[in-house]
Amino acid sequence: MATIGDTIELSLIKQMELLAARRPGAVSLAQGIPSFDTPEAIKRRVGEALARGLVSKYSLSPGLAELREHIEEQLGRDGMRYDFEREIIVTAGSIEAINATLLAVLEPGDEVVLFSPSYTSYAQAIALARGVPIFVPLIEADGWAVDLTALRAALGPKSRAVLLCNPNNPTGTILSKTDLLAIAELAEQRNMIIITDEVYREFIYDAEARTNFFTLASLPELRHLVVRIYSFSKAYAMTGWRVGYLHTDQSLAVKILSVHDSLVTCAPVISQYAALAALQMRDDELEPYRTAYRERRDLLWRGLEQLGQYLHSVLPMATYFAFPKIRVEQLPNYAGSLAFAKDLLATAGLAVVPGIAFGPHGEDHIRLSFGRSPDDIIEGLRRLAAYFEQHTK
Amino acid sequence: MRHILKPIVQAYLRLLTRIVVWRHQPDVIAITGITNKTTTKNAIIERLRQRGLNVRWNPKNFNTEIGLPLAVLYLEPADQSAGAWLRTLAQGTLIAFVGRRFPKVLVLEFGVSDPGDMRTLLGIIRPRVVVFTNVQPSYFNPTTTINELASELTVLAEAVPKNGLIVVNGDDPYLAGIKSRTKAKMVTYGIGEGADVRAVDVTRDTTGERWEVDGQARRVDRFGEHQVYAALAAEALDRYYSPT
Repeated sequence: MATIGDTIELSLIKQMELLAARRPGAVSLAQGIPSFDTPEAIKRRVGEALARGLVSKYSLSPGLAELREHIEEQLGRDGMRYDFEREIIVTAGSIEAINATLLAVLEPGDEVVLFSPSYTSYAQAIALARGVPIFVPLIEADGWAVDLTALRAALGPKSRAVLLCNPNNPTGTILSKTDLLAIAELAEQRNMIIITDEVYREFIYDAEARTNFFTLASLPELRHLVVRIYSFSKAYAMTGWRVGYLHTDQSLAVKILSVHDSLVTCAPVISQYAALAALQMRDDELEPYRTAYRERRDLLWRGLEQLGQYLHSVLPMATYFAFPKIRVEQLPNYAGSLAFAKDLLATAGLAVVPGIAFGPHGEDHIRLSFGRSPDDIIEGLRRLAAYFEQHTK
Repeated sequence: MRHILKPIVQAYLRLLTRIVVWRHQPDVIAITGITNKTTTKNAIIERLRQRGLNVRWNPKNFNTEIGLPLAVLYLEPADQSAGAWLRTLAQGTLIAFVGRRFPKVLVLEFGVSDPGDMRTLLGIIRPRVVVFTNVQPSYFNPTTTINELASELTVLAEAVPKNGLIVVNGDDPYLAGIKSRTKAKMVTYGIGEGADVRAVDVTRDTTGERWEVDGQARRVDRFGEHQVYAALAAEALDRYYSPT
């Protein structure tokens, strides 16, 4: 029997970043890393905690009580009611939360529904838990809505969980309340867990869409089925701190906590202090970041519109990714998004993520991050345009 | 520069707070403990507002040497620039010396993490009513022992005047010694036997926690035993509290 190490590969996102790092002069719009440094208010508070000797020992396994209380309060403001003592677990980033949850709920061979395209590392996390990913398409023509017919057809006796990303990486879209409730209905009927990864919750650019954003974690009657995951990485430019959290009903949380404890003992305490400081930031302190991301999205969008003869693009409503479709008929030597991305890096010095990384229905797309600096975005667009001019009919 | 200015700002804010409290004589209710202060504070505020009282409170993280005066003076914290702090202090000076409107009741979280913290907070403002939540090991400050934290809370109990009121979680063994350290009236709340305001038949359904007090049904549409304790503390305070 093959080991996990034999079967899991480094994600294509990280593979592209590694390739880019080896190519001198490469510009990367691949990995979703905010170009900003962590806000000063957070760094200052962490410095104080460090100086006071607060960070050198483990915290309780679910995290610092004060941090979890803050999280409970924040969730309450967003219409989600969870008990900080038994239902909130601070994790080493969102991916640890996902891994701990899958390891806690899956038996070997259990199937987990993944929407396609969605975040590339989900499939590895499922494989790590000895589960089987089952891809269900999102329909591009309907704004990447869930194909509910395909979802129903995909469910079988081994279906154990649905793992969704909302707002969705890489499409930059938001799942509708109707789709989410339909997923919930199916999950209830089959006693399936719904893992909802909402790390891009703060990156919704339309004010109305932000206000109307719906999460299944807000429905008390579903709390025994829903595990919601959030990360500080994106919203507070803290990708390197590796801190996030999950919350769910205590019946599930107690199982996940045991796995979390086995995996990491606790999230890094210094990062928990950073998370605490992040939650104490005022909204107006975060507004400049939101504004900057919106400007970068518009910058990338304008550039992609000018490349309309080569790429079909939709304005991202959320996240910091654009996910245009390659007009493959324009490329005589096109051999799939992976080959395209590798050639783009090799010949034009631009790293993007091939759409196939996000599932079979991501094929023929590329993902570009506008979390990077405006200079990188401008240069990336220039290189993309030059590549198309050289390689199209 | 920041290290020089910080104590000056703290001292000035402390002075302004004393002045504004002396001028308006609000009734001060302190909520203290290791966890569950904010939930308890919110439950108490709701009860006091139902009585029609004008209440001001400190936001969750405004429970330090700088945060507490800012909350009492109703000021926003400034950013790190000296200019912003000067504007804040000028605004605070006006409020302290000439401001006319001031709430009748202040409900303030008193947070402690190190020995000596409580005396510092008492140097800013002295409560007449104190609500104790718990002394759980929080690991929030691993350099301070749980006994040291319990001692810090006792300092606050000793500061409550004879006409004051202490509301204490009767289920917490670390708070059992409070009674011998105060001359004020003391009431207890909890789930265990012997509490003055006691919850029985605590259950959870899909919408939150349910329990009974003296045969009367109670509920909160939130989850967790701490929510029950917060509601009990507020009920105990509401039952025995009379504003000055």
